[in-house]
Amino acid sequence: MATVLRRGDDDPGGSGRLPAAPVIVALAAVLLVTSVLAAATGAFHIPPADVLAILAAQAGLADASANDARASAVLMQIRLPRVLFAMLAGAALAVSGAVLQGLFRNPLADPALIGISGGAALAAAWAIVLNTRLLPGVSALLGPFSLPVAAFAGALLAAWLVQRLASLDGATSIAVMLLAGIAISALAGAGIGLAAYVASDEQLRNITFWQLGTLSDATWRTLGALAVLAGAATCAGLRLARPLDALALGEAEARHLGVDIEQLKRIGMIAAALAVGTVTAFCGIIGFVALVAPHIVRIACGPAHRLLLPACALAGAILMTLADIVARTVLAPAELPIGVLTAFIGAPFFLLLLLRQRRLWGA
Amino acid sequence: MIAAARWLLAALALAAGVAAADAPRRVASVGGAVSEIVIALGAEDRLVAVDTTSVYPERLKLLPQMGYMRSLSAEGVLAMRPDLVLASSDAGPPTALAQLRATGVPVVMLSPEHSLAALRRNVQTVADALGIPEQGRALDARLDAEWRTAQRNLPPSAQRPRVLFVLAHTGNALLVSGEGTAADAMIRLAGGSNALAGVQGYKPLTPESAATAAPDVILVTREGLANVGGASRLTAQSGLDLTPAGKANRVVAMDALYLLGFGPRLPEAVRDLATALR
Amino acid sequence: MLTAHDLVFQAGKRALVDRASVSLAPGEVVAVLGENGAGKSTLLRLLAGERAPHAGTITLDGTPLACFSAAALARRRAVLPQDTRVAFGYSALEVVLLGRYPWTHGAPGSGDVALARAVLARVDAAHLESRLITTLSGGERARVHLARTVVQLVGDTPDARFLLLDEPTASLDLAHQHLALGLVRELARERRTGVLAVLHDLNLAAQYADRILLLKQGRVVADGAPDAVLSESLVSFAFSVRALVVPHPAGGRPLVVTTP
Repeated sequence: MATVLRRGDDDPGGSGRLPAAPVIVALAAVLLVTSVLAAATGAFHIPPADVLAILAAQAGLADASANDARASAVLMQIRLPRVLFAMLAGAALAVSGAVLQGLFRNPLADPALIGISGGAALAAAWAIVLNTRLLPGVSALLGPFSLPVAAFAGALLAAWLVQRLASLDGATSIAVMLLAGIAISALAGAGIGLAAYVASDEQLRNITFWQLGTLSDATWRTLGALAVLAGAATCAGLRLARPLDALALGEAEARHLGVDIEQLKRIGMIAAALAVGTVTAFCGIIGFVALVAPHIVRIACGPAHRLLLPACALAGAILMTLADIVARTVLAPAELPIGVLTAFIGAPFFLLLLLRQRRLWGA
Repeated sequence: MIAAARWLLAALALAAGVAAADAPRRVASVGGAVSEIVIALGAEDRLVAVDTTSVYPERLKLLPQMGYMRSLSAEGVLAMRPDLVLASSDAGPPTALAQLRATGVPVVMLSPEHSLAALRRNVQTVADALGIPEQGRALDARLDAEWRTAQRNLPPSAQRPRVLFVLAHTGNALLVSGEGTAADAMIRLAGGSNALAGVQGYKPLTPESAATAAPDVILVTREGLANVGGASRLTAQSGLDLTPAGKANRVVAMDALYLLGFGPRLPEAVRDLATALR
Repeated sequence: MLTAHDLVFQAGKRALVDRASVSLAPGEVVAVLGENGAGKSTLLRLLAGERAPHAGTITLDGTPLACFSAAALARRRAVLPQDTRVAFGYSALEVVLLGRYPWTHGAPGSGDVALARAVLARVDAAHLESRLITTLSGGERARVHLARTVVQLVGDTPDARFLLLDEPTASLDLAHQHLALGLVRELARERRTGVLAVLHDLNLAAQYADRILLLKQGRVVADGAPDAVLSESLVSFAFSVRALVVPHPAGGRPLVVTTP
């Protein structure tokens, strides 16, 4: 459908301008349906009508006394923050993926694959171990922000390292980018292992929880921190649409068009690292959402970032919410870590992309 | 005791408007020993869901499952519509427990200590939470009597055997238990001495550390022994074969929950272990 | 006026460009000729600001190039590299519209789209506008990118414009070579644009250039009208071939015939 819109009579050139509105509206509608579905799905049975009644009561539109107090508590305290958390995390991951792919000029740049998530998890693991031992003051000061701030620093360092290693004379070597990602991920894995060795039993449980991504830590408190940090990062990413389009021509060409490349890279990297770092701090390493969402959107709507980035935010939110529905229900009442699920979907997808790109950069 | 009192106050506050006589009817139990205590108190009919570690008695496996106790899902637990959650101190993650409390379900955590005193406290905590304190006192009296019997069977302190507990639950990696573990507590209670003194927690077994520990007896769980493939396979392990226990092929295997659970079968388990160590 | 004075650019100890001076005035087409490794592309990169010279100065209307912001410079001069690989599957029209980057804030408007379409038609690529750039042949791609650099220089400021082209005809067939060079000559004449193009074909240069810059081993060995530069002795010297120069049968420009 989107392809028809894109190449329709109104817009034969595919400038991406006219079809933007219908694509965004359609995705927003799907997201709305998905989120209602997610709010109405779970181990604890709440009929959809009751979901609406509880929400209406919360908004002051209806009488709350008619509702089951337990169902109301499950919806408001557990499910709603979790659904919103999944949406925000998915949007942040997908937009950061699209921004990274634009910066690296390659659709294979996934923050988990190129080591950015690993850097974030490593920093967060050490923050947990050191928090109670050396830096109780810092953690008291930053509150729910202390972990994401540490993860952001780790993500930024990893992103900077990968970029420095992979770019040479304004061109990015995809092979080096992926290999650097492997090396950084291995380093992060070792560092997390070391942290686990010196950690106390309780810290250890917190650390192992990230190696598989999970949304079980979604509460109103963490949602607030995620909304502030990942929200800011996503907004910053969305503003890079035009220069990222120009960068698709190459660094020198973009510079000739008047793009401040250094500033673009700086803002793009910081935004992506902040989004990935925050999500990783709260949910662990969730791979492939940042790879799959932009790719699907590019197939449907073309690569122009003005439409791609906001559409990615919506598509990422949809993907993550759907994945979470499956994660919560498939083993109910127990839960599957969502990172396991996204990897199951995303890894074959990545292999497919790799197969298609193989010819471009030789055997 | 303080925790229990605090819970009682909280429960009273939460249950305002509900008749005080209303004892919890639907109990979700997390932890093998916790479930055993509930059953020993005669409240089995109130159990509506258990976790994967609740394996004794066998029929508990027929109850609805809530998954592994360290990775509970708050909603998964709530789906069982419990009016009381009894949980081992190992239960988690903390967020899930906090969410359970936030929805108004009382969550009672038991003491993590490995001792008879802790068990007796836990029994009373559970009995109070279930609204059957007199059954709690009865069980407490029974445990006390069984304990005294068990103590009479202990080997004389002059000849404490050196015991090495080997945990073989995960893959090929063998772990041995230092101080502060449930196995360490059991070995001491049964009149043995932990061959791995001066080490905290579970550590990987290395040939040299095994030889240094020089145990007279190797203690394992039945599940672990099955994993390894039998006693002779275990004592043939590099390092263990050099120890007195390895040479004499002295391996004692007991059911994991029975041995390490610190549930109401504790006096019995101590007595059995003491007998086996003689 | 784009002026370079005594430029030096070294790779290791070898000077790729050796004390070269160039000037480009609005309204003229200058062809840069020379054998492989003579320093043509390097000179163009220096003029484009892609590389900083190790010595010498480059000024635009008297102001050093380094004093311009990237955005200000983008409104004054456009650069067409030898080949541009676009990272994602943009349509040809979208690529041309990227040329409007210096002039638009947010999305390009209908005026930009109309302009892009008109220029695509001028390079005989109107039928390619919704094709993906990644699926075009080398010649088609070259025309689309030429159109992109042309639309980049259309704006409402009165300043002179400069267009730097690195082998714009390399992958074009004969008809499109004439089409492309005809277009840039028209641009020079009618829109106060100075065009500097690296070319390989001496006779194309003779036909379309107002001035020819002949390079050898990084040095400017001749700079002047085609008649003066395309002499038998200079061509033999610069290209290490035997050359015969005769008047073009269809007009007064020189026609160069070379033999080993």
